[in-house]
Amino acid sequence: MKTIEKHLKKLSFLLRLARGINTAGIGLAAGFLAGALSLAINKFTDLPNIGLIIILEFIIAVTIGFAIGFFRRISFLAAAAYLDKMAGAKELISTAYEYGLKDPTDVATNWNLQRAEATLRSLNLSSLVSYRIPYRKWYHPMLLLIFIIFYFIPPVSSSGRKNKPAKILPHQLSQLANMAHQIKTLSDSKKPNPIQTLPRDIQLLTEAIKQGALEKKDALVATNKLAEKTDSLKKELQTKQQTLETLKKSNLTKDLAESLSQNDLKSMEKEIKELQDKLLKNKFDQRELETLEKRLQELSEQLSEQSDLKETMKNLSDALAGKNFKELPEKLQKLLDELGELSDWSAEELAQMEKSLEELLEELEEIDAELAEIDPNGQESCPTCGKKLAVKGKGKGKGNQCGTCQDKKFGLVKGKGGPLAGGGTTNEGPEKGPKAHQGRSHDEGGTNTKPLTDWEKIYAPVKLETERTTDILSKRKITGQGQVLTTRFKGVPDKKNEALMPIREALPVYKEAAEKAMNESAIPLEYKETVRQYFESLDKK
Amino acid sequence: MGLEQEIQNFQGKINALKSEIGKIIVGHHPVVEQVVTAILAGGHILLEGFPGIGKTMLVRTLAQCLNVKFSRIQFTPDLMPADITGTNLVVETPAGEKKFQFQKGPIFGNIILADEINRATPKTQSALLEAMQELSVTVAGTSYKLEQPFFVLATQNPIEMEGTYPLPEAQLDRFFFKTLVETPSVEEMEEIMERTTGSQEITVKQVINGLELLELRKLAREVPVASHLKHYIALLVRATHPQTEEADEMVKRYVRYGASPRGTQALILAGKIRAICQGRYNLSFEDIRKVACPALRHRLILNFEGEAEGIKADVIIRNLLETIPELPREVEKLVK
Repeated sequence: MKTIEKHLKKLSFLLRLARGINTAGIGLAAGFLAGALSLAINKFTDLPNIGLIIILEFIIAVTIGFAIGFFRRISFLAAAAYLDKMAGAKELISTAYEYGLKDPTDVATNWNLQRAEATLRSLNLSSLVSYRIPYRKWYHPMLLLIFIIFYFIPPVSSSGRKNKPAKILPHQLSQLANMAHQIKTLSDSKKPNPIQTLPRDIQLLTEAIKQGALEKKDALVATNKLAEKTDSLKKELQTKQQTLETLKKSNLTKDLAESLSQNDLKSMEKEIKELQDKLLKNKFDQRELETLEKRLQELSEQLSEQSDLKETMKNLSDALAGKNFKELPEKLQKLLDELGELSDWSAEELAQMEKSLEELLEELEEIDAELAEIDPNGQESCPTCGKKLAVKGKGKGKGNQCGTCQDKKFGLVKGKGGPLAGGGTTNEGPEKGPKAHQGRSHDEGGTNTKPLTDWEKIYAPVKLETERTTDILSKRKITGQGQVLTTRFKGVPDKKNEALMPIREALPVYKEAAEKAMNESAIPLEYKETVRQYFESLDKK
Repeated sequence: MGLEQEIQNFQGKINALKSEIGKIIVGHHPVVEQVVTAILAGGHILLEGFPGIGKTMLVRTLAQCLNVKFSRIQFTPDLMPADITGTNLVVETPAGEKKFQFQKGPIFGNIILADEINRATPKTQSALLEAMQELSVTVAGTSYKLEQPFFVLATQNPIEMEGTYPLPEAQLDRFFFKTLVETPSVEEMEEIMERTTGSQEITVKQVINGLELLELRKLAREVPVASHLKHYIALLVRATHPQTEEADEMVKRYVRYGASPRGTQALILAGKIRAICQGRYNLSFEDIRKVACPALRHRLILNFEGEAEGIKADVIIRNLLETIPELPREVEKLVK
């Protein structure tokens, strides 16, 4: 009996091993299917390291398959039955084993046991176990074929072109050229880091406000300008960070990203030029071109991304509008903190902002000069004729034109007339409606001489600064929500399209539209998460 | 006597029996083997074949070889049950008194040849039911035990259908085997002519008596059967029922009723005897496959479609033998 058990134990192990190989074959098939599925998904999305994913899928599928087959127990009786079948023992071994377990001393059982042991001794167990994968011959080749077909199907780019040969557009080549030029400019630049001057300016402004050295309006204007430029700075920095991430995704631009992360501007310049050369000389194959096209498309879309810092700036403006000056230093400190986060970025990235910050300083100086001509009561004076202007009017008008001297360069902002615009003779703006009161009228003889409220004093500079003539809400009524959202995400960003209305009013509208668009898949899959995070960040603030 | 000797003795006696039968019966080896198997298993056998091919001769020769009491009942439409079982007759004692005395019928024998059993009425046919199953006969409220060994070997003619009464399913189920007696081959025909038309008279000798037969039967019943074989037999018999999940498409299409548990008993007992005859003391799948057709063919009742299309029960049984897995599920796929 011991001899039989010993043999059956060995046979049971061999059978489990064979079954493990068998089920590993099923796992291999599952690996093919999973790989094909991954390749198919990769045609529509940008799975990172698809090759690694497929290899892992194969390993996991085969391992699980083997484990399922190997670790499931095979009883000795089943092994004995297998042995009888394969050795042609006519059920002698299984019968002897089963009755031997019950009563090995029985005469008949003992007789059978002896014969079974004699049979077992003459057998080579290993030769009785088949390690082949007993599945249909077409099974694996068919799955392999599916895998290969998916491998060679051209990908669908993020721009939505299906199964068409990818091509590099001229504007994308020019993007590369611009990037090379910018990096070269930055690498040659020896100017000090502008990010260091911006916090200092804000600090000085904060102290000036605390000490009462600045008029309220001056402080308001200066703060708004500073906030806007800071916002711009952060946007650009974020864009650069995203650019870095995007470049890292592709093997083609990986070296470029490496140079960027190591702050090696010379190397970056060289990499981009090589990229340009390769494109011009058609050195890329079809797949590489498709990948590069996708990356460049992403870069293009990232340029339209917005910064969260803008909300902080708006809160600051709101605090000023509500005359809550106690909160101002705190909010400014918050602004400083956010800028401090920015200072953690690389020196090259910060250096890239130099130009923008210089513009900021210049504009601040201009604003100071212009504000010097504004009446402390909130009325502006024409720099040419010196006449005071009505701050509100019911008439239509452009608002930046002196009714006496027709000086169109006057004023910080270009107003839009409306029902509250006071019927000035030069107010001929195209817009009508309740929102038009946000504009200012430069109308000497305007019938509306009502003094500005604090709310209007606060918002006036912001509203009048833009030259955009279309109100977002009115546009939305005409074209619908989806149209506005599509413009925002696909079009070239329009800076002056912002802040025409308080964010608390705009946010729910845009959030609803964005959610609707996301649900209807109007937004590409890879940007849905970005849009969701953007609105969640606005909600928090 | 050791087991090995017992098995050798068993084989020797069976071979001797077959050899003696072979002196009279030319060919028909499977038939002889099945008849011997049924007798050793204690079962009854239904022989079906054309007239004149040696069915009755086979039974008679068997009775001579076993040296047991042989009775022949020729079934006719006017045969009454009492003609088989016996009846109470009024007899006069030496003292002049008259009383009823049971006069035993031909059923009181060891080997009963029920010739052309399907010619008798169902009422008469059913007179055999108690005898075949209970091994007893009840007449006028009194039961009489039949002498052991008791075998009924019935014959029926498959072509003469007029004036016949097909055996009811209940009675068919009581037969251990249904054996088909085929027409002899040319060589066998020549041999038959040689043996029966010459002057030499062939006689057979007794090789086994009734007691030895019972001992051989006891030895055969002790053959061990592995559990997966029992499971296979159970699956096989269940698969003959069209309403079970084990049934295949052929069974569902052509079979009205499947085999009863008596079918499993017949398979195992016949398999055991075959195993000993092969010199083994364990049942194997091969034994089951060999005895499946004679043990199950009369237990499968075909439906109208099966009868109309001339489907043979043997075809259905062979199909089941091929489709039902023999090995436990955990190792079955490793063999294919």
